[in-house]
Amino acid sequence: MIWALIATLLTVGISLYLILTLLATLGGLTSFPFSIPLGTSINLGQWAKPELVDLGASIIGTIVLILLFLFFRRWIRYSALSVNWKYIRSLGWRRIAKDTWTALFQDSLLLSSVQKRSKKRWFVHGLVLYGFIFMLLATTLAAFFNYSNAPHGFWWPPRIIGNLGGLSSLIGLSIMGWRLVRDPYEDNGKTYVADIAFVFLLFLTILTGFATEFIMYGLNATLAYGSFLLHMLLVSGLFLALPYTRFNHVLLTPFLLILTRLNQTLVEENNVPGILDEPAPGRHYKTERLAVDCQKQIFPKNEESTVTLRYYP
Amino acid sequence: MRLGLLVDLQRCIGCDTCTLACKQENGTPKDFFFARVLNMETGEFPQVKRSYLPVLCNHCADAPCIRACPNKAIFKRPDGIVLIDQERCNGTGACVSACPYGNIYLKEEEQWYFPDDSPHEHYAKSRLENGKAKKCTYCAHRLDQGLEPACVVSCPADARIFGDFDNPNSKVSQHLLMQKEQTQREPFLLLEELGTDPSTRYLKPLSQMHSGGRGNEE
Repeated sequence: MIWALIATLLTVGISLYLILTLLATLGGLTSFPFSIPLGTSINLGQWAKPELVDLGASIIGTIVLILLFLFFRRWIRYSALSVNWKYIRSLGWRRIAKDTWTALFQDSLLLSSVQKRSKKRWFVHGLVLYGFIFMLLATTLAAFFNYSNAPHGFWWPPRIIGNLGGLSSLIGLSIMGWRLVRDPYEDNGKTYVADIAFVFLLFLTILTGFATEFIMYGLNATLAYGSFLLHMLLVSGLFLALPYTRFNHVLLTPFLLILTRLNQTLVEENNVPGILDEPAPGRHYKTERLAVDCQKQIFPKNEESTVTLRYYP
Repeated sequence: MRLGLLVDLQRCIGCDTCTLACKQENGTPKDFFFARVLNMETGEFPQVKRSYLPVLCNHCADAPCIRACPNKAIFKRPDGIVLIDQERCNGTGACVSACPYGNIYLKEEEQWYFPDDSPHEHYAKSRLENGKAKKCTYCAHRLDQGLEPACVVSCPADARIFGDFDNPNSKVSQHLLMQKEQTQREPFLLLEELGTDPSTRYLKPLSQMHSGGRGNEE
């Protein structure tokens, strides 16, 4: 409760401050209380040497990739993709690409299922998701166009994109954090801690990002460096903890939705022999796997024998 | 507390009464079968064996569907039963692919067998919503009234034993103990290597334990 209140107050505070700062700048006011000159920022490049940042990012990136590999290996086994693949392949690459695109764009990026049920929920989720995409875009643009971390003004386009994204995510996360605390249904008995961890970690990351952003405008160079370092540590932590926090749904949900779509198409196109309609997409090959596993358990001596499913409802 | 179902494959005769009892109790749409029985043949003539495997939601201790649901619509009750909240479900479909057992059903436009509902169907259907993910609930609505799941009550061969695996005095624990002493049978889990720890467990048919099956006789 207290955390949610603080989060909301901070978001509202930062938003108001940003708006006032911008209005003051646009209006030519210089005596605005606590105002920060939005000219050129401190050059963090003297501490954050691009080579060192690259090295750190490579090491952390490699660890994240290994963790993700282990994470997806588990989900590939759950979804029986190895058994499913022989059916999916029969659809042809064009159809696979089309379904994958629909699952990625319509189902995942546009969140069509959430939009259909609750516009409010879709909006709040959108604030975080699209805000995060903006931040990613800003970081990527900055990496390309400002490799040496040269100081730039407040109105530098990647900076505007990043700040807008951060603000959007911060507002969305505050509402989500509030709901996590207030709504008893959010505790599903399994992922609650992982949910809180993700919201908290992302919230802190954005907050330290904003702190760095403002301290960089000539306030205190040492403080700016400390804030920047903390921000970088949190970003690294966010990605390192990805498989263990709710952050994993950004990769897991699209992956599962691709499989669901492909399996729906398989039955619609009559690519599965003997099945005209399938209300549980993918049930046919999962049932095959169950039959083989059951045979191993009850006929251990006949492990090599073929098992045929004669009938199941 | 860990509620679960034990299926004694020695007793199962593959009659599909559980399938029908479940359909009647839950008023599920056309082609939706929360409790089904796989009818399997192993080997080739003349070494052929017929076996039955009743399958339903396993209410896994580490249920992948709970982790996969992006809408927090799937949750676990303190007694171990995994349920899909029909109001919260958005019909996204991630749980369908996440379930390793293929026991979650989802169809955008559901159909029923007849245009008009019988009064019981009308009552049962009120628990389900069109276009939402559905699965076996171990008849949670019956358990809350102190009744056993419909498939358990209806089984003519008493092949399904339901109860609390954590309570040594429960019917299911007592049955397991008795089988261990008398037939040396231990329960097995489906796809145990996945580590989902299902609450639905199975006892092997006796014939396969002692003689390797009639089909193996030379």
